[in-house]
Amino acid sequence: MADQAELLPGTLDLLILKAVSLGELHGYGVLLRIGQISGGALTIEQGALYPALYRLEVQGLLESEWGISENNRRAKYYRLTPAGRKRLREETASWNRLVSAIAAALGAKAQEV
Amino acid sequence: MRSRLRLLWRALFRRSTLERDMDDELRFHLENRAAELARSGLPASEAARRARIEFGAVEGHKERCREARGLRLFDELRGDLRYASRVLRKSPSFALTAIATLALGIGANTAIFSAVKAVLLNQLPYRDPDRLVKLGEADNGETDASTIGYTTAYDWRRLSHSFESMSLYRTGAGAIAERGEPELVSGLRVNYDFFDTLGIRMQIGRGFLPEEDRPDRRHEAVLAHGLWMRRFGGDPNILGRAIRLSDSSFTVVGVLPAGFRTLEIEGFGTPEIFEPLGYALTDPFACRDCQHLQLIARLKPGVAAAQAHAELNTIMADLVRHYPASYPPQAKVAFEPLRDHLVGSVSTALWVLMGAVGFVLLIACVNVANLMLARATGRAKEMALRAALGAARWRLIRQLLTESLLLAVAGGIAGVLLGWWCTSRLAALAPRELPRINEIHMDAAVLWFGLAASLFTGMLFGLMPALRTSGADPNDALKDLGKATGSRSRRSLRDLLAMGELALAFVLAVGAGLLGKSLVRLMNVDPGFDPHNVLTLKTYVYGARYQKPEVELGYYEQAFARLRATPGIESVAMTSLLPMTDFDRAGFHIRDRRPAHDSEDPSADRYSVSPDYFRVMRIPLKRGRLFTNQDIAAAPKVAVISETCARERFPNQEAIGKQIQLGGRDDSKPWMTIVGIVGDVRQYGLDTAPSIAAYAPQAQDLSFGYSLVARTTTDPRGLERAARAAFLAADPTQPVFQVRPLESYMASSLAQRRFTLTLLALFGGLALALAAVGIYGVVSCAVTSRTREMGIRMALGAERRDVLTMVLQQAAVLAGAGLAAGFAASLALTRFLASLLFEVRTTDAETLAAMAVLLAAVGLAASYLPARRAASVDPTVALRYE
Repeated sequence: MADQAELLPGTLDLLILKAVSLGELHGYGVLLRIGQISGGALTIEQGALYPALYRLEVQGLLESEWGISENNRRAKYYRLTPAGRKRLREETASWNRLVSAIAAALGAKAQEV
Repeated sequence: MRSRLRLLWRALFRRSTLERDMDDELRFHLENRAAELARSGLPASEAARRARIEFGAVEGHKERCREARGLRLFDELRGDLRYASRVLRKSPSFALTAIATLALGIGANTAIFSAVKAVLLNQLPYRDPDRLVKLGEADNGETDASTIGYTTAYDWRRLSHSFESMSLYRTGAGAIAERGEPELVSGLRVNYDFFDTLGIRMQIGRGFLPEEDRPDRRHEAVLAHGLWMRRFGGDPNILGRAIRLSDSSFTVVGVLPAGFRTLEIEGFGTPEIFEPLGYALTDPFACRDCQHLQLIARLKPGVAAAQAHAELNTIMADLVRHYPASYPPQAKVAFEPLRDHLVGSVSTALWVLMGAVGFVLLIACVNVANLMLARATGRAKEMALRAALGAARWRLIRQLLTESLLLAVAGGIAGVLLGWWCTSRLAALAPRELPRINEIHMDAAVLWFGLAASLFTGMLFGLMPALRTSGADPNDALKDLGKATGSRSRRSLRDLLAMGELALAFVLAVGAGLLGKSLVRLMNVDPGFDPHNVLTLKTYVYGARYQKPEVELGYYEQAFARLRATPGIESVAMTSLLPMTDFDRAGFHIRDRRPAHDSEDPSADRYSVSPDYFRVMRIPLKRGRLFTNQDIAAAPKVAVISETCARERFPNQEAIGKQIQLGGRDDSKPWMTIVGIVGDVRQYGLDTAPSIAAYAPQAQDLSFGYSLVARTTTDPRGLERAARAAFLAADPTQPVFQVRPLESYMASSLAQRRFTLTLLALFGGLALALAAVGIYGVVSCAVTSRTREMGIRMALGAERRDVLTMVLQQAAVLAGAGLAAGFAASLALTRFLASLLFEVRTTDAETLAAMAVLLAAVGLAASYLPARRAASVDPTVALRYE
C-alpha cells in the first residue's frame, strides 16, 4: 500500500466523472473502476464517494436510475449527462494544463532561472 | 433544473423513499465489498467488519449526502414543523383556543374584505373605467352629479375638448304584455353612443346608429341579457323582430352580454331595455333648465380629471352669463368619477367595518400573544436547556416562530372556511341597496388576503414571545427552573397587552353604541304618516283606451270598488308619489309673486292623489280642508300644501286662498287655489328633513303611473293576492307590480344603517368577549404566580376578603388604564363615523359612559373568578407550592 497516492482535494469529482464517462456504473462500481483505471494507485475513502455522487447529481452532471446489478440486486446506476460530459472535458483540459505547468516548474534547473 | 426540482420535490414529500434509497445504495456497496473481501479468503463476519471499517462512519456520510442534496434547511424546517405540531398536540386546549380565536379574527376579516373588494376595489366592468365620469349641473354647490338639461349638455359637448364622448340617458319604462303576464320593464333612453362611452360590445347585433337617435325615429331597442332570456327564451333570431312596448313597436337591434352592468338611476330599478334618447334642441323638454337627464362622459387619454372639470366650469360660467334666465347665478359643474358616484356613502360604512374588523383581528392576535407568553413562561426551562446545549438563538426563535405560524395557518384555514360561510351570509344580510352586492364572493385575491392575514398574525403574536423567551439568560432561567413565576417585565408586558385589548374593544363598543343610538333616534323620527298596516302596489296604464283621463280614473274606481269589498281592507287611495321611494319635484310658482327669473322659484315634491289619500296615510290636516269627491276636472282647481311649504313660502301670511302652479309658470293655464295645509312627510328617508310639498287632486292633475295605498286591519302581507286580483279584474292587460307593505320601504330606507350597525355590534361583542378572555387569562396567571405570596399573607392573618380586594384592585387598575387608553383612542377615531350618525355627536357622553361601565363590568367579572380562587387558597398548601 506504500505506492498509493493521497487524493488531492477537488480531484474526486473529476475521477468520478471520468469513471462514469466510460460506462454506466453503480456506486460500488465507481470505486472499482477508479481503482482499475488508476492501476490501483489511488485510494479514496469509500464512504466519501456517496456525498460526492449526490452532489454531482444535484449539480446536474450525473443522472441516476435504479436497475439490476450483475449479481441480481437492486442497484442505483449513474450516468453522465451532456453537462457532465462538457464539465469532464473542461476539467480534464484544465487539469492537464495544471499538471504540465507544475511539471515544468518542478523540472526547472538552476541555470535556467 | 428540472432534475433539481424533482429532487427537491422528492426531498420534501417523498422523504421516506429517499432515505430508503440511500440506505439501499450504501448497503449494496457494503455487501459487495464484503463479498469481494470474502472471496479473497476472509471469513464472512470479518469481511463484513472490514468493509464497514473501510467505508468509514456510515451516519456521517449519510448526513453529508443529505447535505449534498442541499436539503438541510428543509430538514430543519421539517423538524421544526414536526416538533411544533407535537408540542401543540400535547396542549390541545391551548391550541384549540388559539386557533378558534384566530379563525374568528381572520374569518371576519376575510368576509369583510371580500365585500370591500367587490364593492370598492374591483374595477367597474367597463373599458378603462377610471376615465368615466358622471357629470351634472350643480345649482347649489352640491358635489354629487345628478341631472342636467338637454341644451346645457349639448353646449358642454360642443364647447369642451377634454372628453372622448358624452352620453345622456334617462328613465324610460315600458310594459311588455306579449308572452305571459303583463310586466313593466324598467328601461333607459340613451344617446346612440352610450354603449361606446361605457366601452361595451353587444353579445349579438349592434348598438344604436346616430340617425336612430332623433325625435322622429326611436324605433329600435336593445335588450339586456336577462330580459332576453326571461321573456324571449334567449331566441338567437331575435334581431330584427318587432316587440310591443306599451303602445309603440320597437325593432330589436342588439342584445347586451350577460356580464353587462348597466348604470342605474336611483329608485328606478335595474333597466333591462334600451331605446334611443331621441331628443332635439327644439323639443320643449330639451330646455336649459329642464333638468331631468343624466350625463356620463369618458375623458380623453392623458387629460386629468381636474383639468376637464376646470374646462367645464369655464364653459358653464359663460353659459350662466349668456342665459341668466335659465341658470341660477352660482351654477357650477358637478363632476364625479363614476366609481365614487356608484359607491357613494357606502364606502364610509365599509371602510369603518374594515377598520373594526381589523381591530377584532388585532385583539385576537393580542389574545394569542398573551397565551403564547403565558406558555413561554412555562417553557423557559426547555428553552434554557436547549440554549445551554448549544442551540443558536436564531434557531430557537425559528422554532417558536414555526409554532406560531403553524397555529396561524391552522387558524387561517379555519378562518377562510368561516369567511367563506360568512361571505354568503353577508351577501344575504346586506341590503339590496348596497351597490354591486351580487358581486361579493370569495375569489383568489380574497384567499390571498386570508393567507397574508394569517401569516401576518402569526408573525405578530409569535415574534414577541419568541424574542423574549429566547433572549433569557440560560443561567438565570435554569436557576429559575423550579419556579413558575414570570419575570416582572414579562408580566408587565402581558398587562400591557390586556390593556390594549380592552382599549380596542372599548373603541368598537363605542362605535357600535353611537350607531345604535343613531338608529334608535331614527326609528323614533315621525315620518309624517303611519306606515303600519298599509299595503302598496304600483300600476302603470298604457294603451289607446286610456288616452282619456276619465277612463284611467274609472279603472282605479273599479279596482277600489273590489278592494273596499275585500274583508281586511279599510280604505284605499292612489298616489303618484310613494314616500321613501319615489321622486318627483317641480317648480313651485306663486301667482302674485314673480321672481326676476322663473328658475329662482324653489322646487317642491309634487303629489297627485285621490281624495282619501291623507286619511289612508293618516297625514294630519292642520288647517283648511282636504280633497273631496267634488274636486273633479270641471271644478275649480285646488291644491293642498305641507306645513313646511306654508311656513317657508308664505311667511307671516295665510297660505290658504293663495294661487300656485307646479312645473312651468304659464298664465294661460288655470292656477290652483290652496285649500288646506297638511303635516310634513319625510319623502326621502327618515334621516332627511322634509322639503316643501304640494298635492293636487288626481282628477284635476293626472300624472303618469300610480301607487295604491290601502289601509288594512290585518297584516297587509295577507292581502297581497287580493289586491293584485282587484286590479287584474278591472283590466287584465295592465301591469301590476311591487305589491308590498309600506313598512318594507321604511325598512329598506334603514337597511344600510341596520346592516352597518349589526356588523359593528357583532364585532364589538366579539371584541368584548375576546378582551374578557384576555383579562381572565392575565389575572388568573398573575394569581397563580402569586399563590405563595397569598399563602404567606393569609398565614400572617389576611382575611379572604383582603385577598379578594387585592386581586380585584389589581384588575381594576388594569381595566381603568385600558379604558382610559380606549377613551383617548375613541375620541380620535369616532369622527370617522360622523357621516353615519344621525343626531348623535361623535363624542356623545352618554354612549361613552355607558360603554365604559359595560366594559368595566365585563373586566371585573372576568377577574372575579381568578380572584375568588386566590381567596380560597389554603395557606399550608400554598406555602408548599413550588
